[in-house]
Amino acid sequence: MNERMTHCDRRRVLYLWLFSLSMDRLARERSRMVTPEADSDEGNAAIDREPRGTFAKRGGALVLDAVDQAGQEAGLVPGLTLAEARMQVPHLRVTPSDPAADNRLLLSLARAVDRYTPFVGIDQPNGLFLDITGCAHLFGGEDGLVDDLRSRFARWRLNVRTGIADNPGTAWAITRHAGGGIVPPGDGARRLAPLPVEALRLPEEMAAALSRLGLKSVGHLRQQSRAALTRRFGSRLTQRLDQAEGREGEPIEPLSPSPLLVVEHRFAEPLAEMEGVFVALEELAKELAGRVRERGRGARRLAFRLLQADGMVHDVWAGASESLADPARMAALLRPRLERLSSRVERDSGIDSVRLWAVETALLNPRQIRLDGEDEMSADLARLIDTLTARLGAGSVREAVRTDTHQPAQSVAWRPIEVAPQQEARKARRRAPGDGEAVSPTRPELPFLPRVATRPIRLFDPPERVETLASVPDGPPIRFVWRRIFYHVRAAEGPERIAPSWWEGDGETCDYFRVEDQAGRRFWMFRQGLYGANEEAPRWFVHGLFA
Amino acid sequence: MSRLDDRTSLRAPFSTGVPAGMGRAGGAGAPPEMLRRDFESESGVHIVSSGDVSGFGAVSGFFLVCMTKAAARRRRTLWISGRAGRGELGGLYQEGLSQLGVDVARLISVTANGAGDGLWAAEKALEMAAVGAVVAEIYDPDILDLTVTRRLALRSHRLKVPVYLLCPAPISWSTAAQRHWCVRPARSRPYAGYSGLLGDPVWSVALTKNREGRCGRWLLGLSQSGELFEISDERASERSKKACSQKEHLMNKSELNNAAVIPFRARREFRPHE
Repeated sequence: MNERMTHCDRRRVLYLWLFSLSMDRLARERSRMVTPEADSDEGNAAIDREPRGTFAKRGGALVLDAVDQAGQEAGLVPGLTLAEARMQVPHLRVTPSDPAADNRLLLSLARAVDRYTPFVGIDQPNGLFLDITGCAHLFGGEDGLVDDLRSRFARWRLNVRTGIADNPGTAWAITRHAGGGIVPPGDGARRLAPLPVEALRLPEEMAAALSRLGLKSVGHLRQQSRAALTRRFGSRLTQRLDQAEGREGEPIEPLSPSPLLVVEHRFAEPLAEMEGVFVALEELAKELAGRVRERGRGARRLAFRLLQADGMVHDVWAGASESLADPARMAALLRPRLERLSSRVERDSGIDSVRLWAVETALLNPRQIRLDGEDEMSADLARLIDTLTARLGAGSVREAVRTDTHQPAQSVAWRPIEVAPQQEARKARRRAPGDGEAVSPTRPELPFLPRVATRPIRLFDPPERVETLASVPDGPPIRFVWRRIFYHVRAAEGPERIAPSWWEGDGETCDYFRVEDQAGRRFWMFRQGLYGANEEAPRWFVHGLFA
Repeated sequence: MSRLDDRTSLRAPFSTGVPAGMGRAGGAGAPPEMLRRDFESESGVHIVSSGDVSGFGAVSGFFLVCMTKAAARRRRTLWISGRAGRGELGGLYQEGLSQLGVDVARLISVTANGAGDGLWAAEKALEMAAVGAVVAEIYDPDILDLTVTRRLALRSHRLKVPVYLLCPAPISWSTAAQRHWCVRPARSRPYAGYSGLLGDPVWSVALTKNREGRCGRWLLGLSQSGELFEISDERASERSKKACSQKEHLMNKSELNNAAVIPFRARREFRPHE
C-alpha cells in the first residue's frame, strides 16, 4: 500500500523529441502535393531515396540546417556549408529552412497530444514535455502510452523518440543522449551518471569548458564539490544538476491553462463530412451546458477543437456577451465559424475527435420573466451582439463609456459591449442628460451668451494635417487647405488650450479652435506647438467636425 | 405596472420639438411636419446625404438631433460604420454627442469591415426587438442601388424598424427609399454682440424625394433648448422652390416608370483604388 502511494505521488514526465521535425514536415508537404493515385510509383520511391536537406543563411554563408536519413548516410551533418555539402553529395536536394512553419507544426502537435495529458509544454525548437502523472493507466500503463504515442506519430509520418522519467531534466537527457526509454521511478540518478555533460541542457560554451577540464560525464560532475562548481560556472550548472536529480522542481509551463470543463467525442472512424461534426457539436453543447448549469454558471468563451487524423488541429473560438447555458445558442455561435473551416477540413484527412470546452465561465444570471418583455429585449440584444461579433470580429460591437481624461484623443472610449440584465435595467432608468440650462452671464454689460457645443460630434483618428494661413501667430487661421480643398474661415472661437497630462511625459501643447467657414462647415482645429518655442513652425490639424 | 405605463408613454407620438403650426414654407408643406413624419416613421429606408465629406458633420448632427427626439428614446439604436469610412468620415465622438443632447447609452456602435458586412449587419439588426432604429454610414453611396435599398425596405416594412442611411454624397438615382434628404451646413447666425463668433448650427435641408408628399427646401436652425425652427430666407426659398419642383418632377417621374419593372443598373466601372 505504502509503495503504491509513493508510486502515485511521484511525478512522471514524458519527453518527446522530434529529431527530424523539419525534414518530416517537408516530406508531409510533398506527400500532400503528390496525388494519391501515384503513391506506389517506383519513380516516387527513387525520388524519396535522394538525400535532402534544408539550409539557412548564417553569417553570410549558406549552411546546412537539417539533413534527412539518406543524407546522413551519405555523410552529411547539419552545420556544413552548402557548398561543401554539394561537393560531397552532388545530387543533394535542398530547400530553405522555414522555422515558422516548423514551429506551427510543433504547436499543432502540442495541441494534438493533449489527448494524453492536459499538461503539455513546448521545448523549442523540436521537443514537447508531457506531464503524464496519473494519466498513464488510462492507456494501459506507461508502455501502453508510449506504444500508442509512437504508433500515432508513425501514422502522422513523424520520427519521434520518447523518454519517461521522474522529472523533465532526466527525461530530456535520457531521450536525447541515451536513445530514450522508460526510467523506472527513483532510478534517474543512476541512469544519468554515464551520460555526457551536455545531457544537463547546458549552454554550449559551458559544456565545452567542462569537457576541457576533463569533466566529461554527469558522474564526474557529481564528484566535484558544489561550491567549486558554482564559483567557477555560476549557479546555472548546479541548478541544472539539481533539476536533473529531482532536488529542485521544474514546472512545465502548460501551453494552455487546463480548462475546467471539457467534453470530448471520439469518432470510431475519421469523419470526412462536416455534417457529422455539427451533430457531435450539438451533443457536446448539450453535455457542456448541463455541466456548467450544475455549477450555477454559464460559458462566456467557448472553444471547439477538431483533431484531425493526420495530427493537425483546428480550433474555433466564440465569445458570448452574457453567460450561456443554452446548448442551442452555444452551437449556433460556433457553427458559422465551423462552416467557414469546412472546405479546408474536408480537403484534408478526416476528423478523429472533437472537443468542446468552456474557456471562461461566469455566474449564470437567472431571469425572472416579466410582463413587459424587458428581459426578452435584453436576451434579444445579446443574441444580436453575438451574431454580429461572430462575423465582424471581437471588439467591433461597442458602446460608449465615459472616461476621466481631458485629452480628446483618449476620451473616445467605445468599449466592447457586454449585456447584463441589471445593467440594462439601470440604463433604461437613466434619463437623457438635461440640456438647455443657461450659463449665467459673467459680465453684465455684454449681452447674454448661451452655452454652445465645444466638442465636435465626429472625430478623426489620427487628426489630419492641414496647411494654414494665420493672421496673427497665436490666432486662428484665416484660410486653410484640408484634403486639397481651400476653406475660408468666417468665424472662429478659441483658443482652448489642451496640454498633455504632466505625468505622461512631454508632449506638445495644443491650442484648439472652433472654426466656421464661409459655407457654414464647422471644424475643430488645433495648432500643435507654440510660435517661437521651437525652430520649426507649429503644425495645424483638423481633429473633428461639428454638427 | 409602472413600467408598462412607461412603455406606452414612450410609444406615444413624440414631438420633434417644433410646434406643429410653426413651420410654414410657401406651398411645399411645413418642414417640421415632414420631419416629424420621417423620424417618427415606424419603417422604411430613409437616406440622408450631404454634399461632400466635409459636410458630413452637419449631416450627422442634423440627423442625431432629429433622431434623439424619436426612436432612440424607445429602444437601442444601432449605428453601423465601415472601417474604411471611419478614417475618411471620422468616428462618433461621445462628448460631442452628449453636448448635443444625445443619450449615448442608447447607441450601439458596430464597425463593419466593408459595405457588404455593413448591410448584412443592418439586416440582422432589423430582426431584433431590442433595436429601435438602424443607422448605417455608407461611405460609397454607389452601392445603394435599387436592389439593395428595396431589400432593406421590404425587411424594414415587415419588421417595423426604420433604417437610415447616411452618405457623404448626394444620390441622384432611384432607390426604394421613402425619402431622400440632402443636408448641407449653412452659415450660422452669430449672437448679438458676438459677430466674430460661431452661432448655433444652421442647416440647409432639402427633401429631394418624397414618396408621400411634395419635396421642398428649408433653412433650419437649432435653438438653445435643442429644438428645430425654421429660418425664413425669402430670396433663398424662391430660388430653391424652383429647383426643387424641377427635381421633384424628375424624381417622381422616374419612380413611376420604375414601378413595374426593376431595372438592373449597369455594371459599375472598375476602380483600381477600391
